[in-house]
Amino acid sequence: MIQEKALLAGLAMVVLAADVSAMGIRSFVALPLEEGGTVLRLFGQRNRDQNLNVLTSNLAYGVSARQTLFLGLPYRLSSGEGDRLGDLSALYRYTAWQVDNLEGTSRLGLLGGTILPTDSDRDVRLQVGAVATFFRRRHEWDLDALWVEGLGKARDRARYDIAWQYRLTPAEHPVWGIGDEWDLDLELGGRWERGSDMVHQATLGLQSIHKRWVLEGAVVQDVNGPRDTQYILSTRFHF
Amino acid sequence: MTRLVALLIGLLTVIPPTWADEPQIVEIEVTGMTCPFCVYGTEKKLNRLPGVEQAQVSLKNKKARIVMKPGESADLAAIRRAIVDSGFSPGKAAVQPPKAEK
Repeated sequence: MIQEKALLAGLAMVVLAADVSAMGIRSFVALPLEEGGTVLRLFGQRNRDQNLNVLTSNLAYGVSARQTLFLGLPYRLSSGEGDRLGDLSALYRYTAWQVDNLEGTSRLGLLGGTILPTDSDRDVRLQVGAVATFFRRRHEWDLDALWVEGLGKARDRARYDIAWQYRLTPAEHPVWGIGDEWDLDLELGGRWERGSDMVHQATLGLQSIHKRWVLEGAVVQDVNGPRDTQYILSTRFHF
Repeated sequence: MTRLVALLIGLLTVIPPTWADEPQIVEIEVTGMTCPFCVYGTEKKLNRLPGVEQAQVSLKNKKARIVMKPGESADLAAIRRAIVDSGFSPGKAAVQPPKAEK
């Protein structure tokens, strides 16, 4: 049981470490970060059923309009076995295809990177995947998938996320300047590690999006497997 | 009276009319933006261009409005590049008053 909990905690840490500048709460996204722009994200997640609290610090940097670098480092706040500090996720995104029009945007990004262990007992993992975004008027759909190849003793992992966001308010943005907005967020995701079944998860969230910061909260419910309930509180700052 | 008229004519030739000091304004289409974060990033890029007094972006109308400093001329190529560097697509542009022919 303890091993299972440690496994789930480790999986949660790696998965969370990958999220940075998504407009979905748990998914990746192909929405751009401007060249030289930086987004800092603090992502807190509480697993009520396992009494597990994890805070993940993420940083996204726009190398260019088409290239973004994501770094993520999780830290376990609650007591338990194993290291509190998780492994460092470094992920590079290249926007390979992009079509913009007056109605919105469609983008496809390719992902590649590594997960570097912060403890010599753990092995390196490599990650590769893709992310797609479609935005039309008040709707945004984000789809992403990631394969994590474990080297040495590290187990393979995989994840997927499908997110739909709907702008609740305003119905229309101001003519000039930057208005605030509230978005509803619904997501379906899956987390898998070799030797275990894929755990599908449904997420219901709310986002308050401002000019330079976002505050968001969500409830994540396992659809199968451990049937855990998790709570997310996250904030991001755009520099 | 003749002196007064001569003085007025002299002043008019020395002091340029006020409309000559009106700043140049560029309005350019920007597509692909979706949220306040996108607007912030684009405005930041445009406001850093040389000679720009103020840049505003309309998420509603998918446009950017760039007001140049008095006497400064807009560099449309640089404006388009800044929009592309922000991750979006520039479209049609209008300059008011129009650039003088060289």
